[in-house]
Amino acid sequence: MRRGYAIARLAAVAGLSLAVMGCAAKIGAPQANLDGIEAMRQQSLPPMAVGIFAPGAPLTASDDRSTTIRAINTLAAPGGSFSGYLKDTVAADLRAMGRLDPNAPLVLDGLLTRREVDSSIGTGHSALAAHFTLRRADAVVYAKDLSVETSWDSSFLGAVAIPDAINNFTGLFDKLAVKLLTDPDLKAAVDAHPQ
Amino acid sequence: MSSYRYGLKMLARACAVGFLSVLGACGTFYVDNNLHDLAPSERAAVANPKPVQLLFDFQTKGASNSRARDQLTAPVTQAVQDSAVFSAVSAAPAPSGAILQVTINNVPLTDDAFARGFAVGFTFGLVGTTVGDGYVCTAEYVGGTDAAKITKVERDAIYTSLGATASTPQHATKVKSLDEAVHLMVHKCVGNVLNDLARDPAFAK
Repeated sequence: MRRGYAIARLAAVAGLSLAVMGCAAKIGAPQANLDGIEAMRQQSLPPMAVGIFAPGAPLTASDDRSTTIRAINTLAAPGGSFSGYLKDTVAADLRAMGRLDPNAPLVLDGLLTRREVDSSIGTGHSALAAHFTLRRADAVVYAKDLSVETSWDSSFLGAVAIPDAINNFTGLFDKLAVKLLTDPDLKAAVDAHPQ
Repeated sequence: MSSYRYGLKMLARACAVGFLSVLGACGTFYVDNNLHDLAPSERAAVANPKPVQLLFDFQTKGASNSRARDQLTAPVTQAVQDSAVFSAVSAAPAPSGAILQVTINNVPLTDDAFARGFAVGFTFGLVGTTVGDGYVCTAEYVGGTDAAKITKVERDAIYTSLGATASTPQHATKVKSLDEAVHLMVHKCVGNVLNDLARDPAFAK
């Protein structure tokens, strides 16, 4: 009876997750969150534009398009590019604060240099890193490498482990965007180069 | 039987049952009765409703689930509007800087953190092939750029009975589909947690 309950529970978790998600191997649109906005509000950043986001060495263009989870499951980047998804995430955070302005003299660029997701049985791990720059009138006023990572309990069952890996991996994009927009060095660069 | 062979057998059975569950071929769905949709007379009266910026996140075991978030943003927004706690609800910043973050976290009903929030055990009466999923709905509100955060939490559950011999969950309402179950859960959770928020004396300040 206990074994049957365990099987049913695992199946239902997987079933409900898939039903709510529609399809596990897809990523939804980025969304700002309150904790990030409150932290970013402390920075009092001026309006900014988001510029060029692309893969940067050692990440290849192929790495930027997709990744594999549990060896055989392909996770395609939303819009065809993980670096583009990072750009959309930074833009979503700026927009939620009312600080996104495509015509602003300050322009944020980014090179995605690392994107890893490992959903091995036992412990999953994911990491994201990028080289960010802030330009004003084509002069670079800020350049910095930032990274974030996370780990989680990873199930034996792929039907449970794969959605968990996708969720933990995609959650890093907002963490990296918030880390950038709350970086004291970014604020210092903005203040040191007023219009 | 070796652990490897047992694992494969368990995986095959789980996938088969899970697949049927997704199709709804053998799944019957119930929503817990701990929360109910509020009648107008039960809703807190807000003297001067203000516009608010709504942020929503759906999580699975604490990790943001962007795909589910996309699917549930519209019903959550509708539930916030139906609550009448705010004069306008938008994804864009509100003039006052007021922000409402609604987070629904899907967790196992056996999770200690989830179970601690209940006076009545949600898993009571769950036997055989009837299983439950818990949902922790959290509303966080800041009334302006310098306002203190107010946090309220409500909990709900969806039960799934698999197969003809499954037990019927107690203290739960049967619904026609998983989609109806999720939408009912969302509307109840959001309505109740916003009512808790509106009743907080700090909310009107």
